[in-house]
Amino acid sequence: MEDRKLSIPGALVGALVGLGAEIAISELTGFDIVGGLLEIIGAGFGLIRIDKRIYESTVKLLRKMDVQPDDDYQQVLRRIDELTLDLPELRESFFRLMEAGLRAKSA
Amino acid sequence: MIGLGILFRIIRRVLGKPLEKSGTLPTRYYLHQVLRSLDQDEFGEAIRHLRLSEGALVDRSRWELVRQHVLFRCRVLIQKHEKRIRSMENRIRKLNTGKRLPWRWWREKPTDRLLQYQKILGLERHARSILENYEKELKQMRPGEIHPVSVSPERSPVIPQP
Repeated sequence: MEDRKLSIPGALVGALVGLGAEIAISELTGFDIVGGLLEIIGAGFGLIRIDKRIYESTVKLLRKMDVQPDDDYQQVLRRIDELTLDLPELRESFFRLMEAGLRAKSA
Repeated sequence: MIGLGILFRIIRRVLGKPLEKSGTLPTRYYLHQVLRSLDQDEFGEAIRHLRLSEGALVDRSRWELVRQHVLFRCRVLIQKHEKRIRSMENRIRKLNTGKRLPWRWWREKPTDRLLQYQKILGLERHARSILENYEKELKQMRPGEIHPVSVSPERSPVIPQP
């Protein structure tokens, strides 16, 4: 078998050509190839669908709350209010979720 | 898409576990793990993963939201235990006030029941104190600050004897 030698200038030229091609493609077509490839690799580590997962978790949190059958809406709202006094982001997503639920129910 | 999902899951399992301790994986990977632990109410694991991703500069808002999720669940469970503690204390009080009445032979001995209630009360208090420690730990966490990863063994206090 032939002995293969690694050439540093060759690698540099290859990298430059690759970079040039990537820039040319993204300029001409608008597609970001390197970003796309990184996204695909990243998906392996669960980088995508995190927002959907957070939404599912928010719904689960509400479902898992200890709500009695005779509790009314205001009581549940007050309890959520008490528990999320220092959790503004979560409070906002809860209220958005509840509003959406109410809107869907009334529609 | 299903094939890709399976492939990614395999990659996650094979590469994720050994690499996660280094803290070099993307924040979202840790957030996925935190939410998975939260589904099973494993607060220790959830906090460990949150700590591992604490130093990340990206995805701070998501990190914060997930931290709040864990904190909220912790509080819901604390409330649940408090409710049970109150109910147990009421039962013990009732049993103690009715001590002078003669117990009937077909019923359980009041002392047996009292001991049982006290045991449950001890366990409930223990569970509450563990959750309160988790809550304290979660409150102190801030994104962008790197802390040493530690699962402190002294987190769980000694079970109070009835």
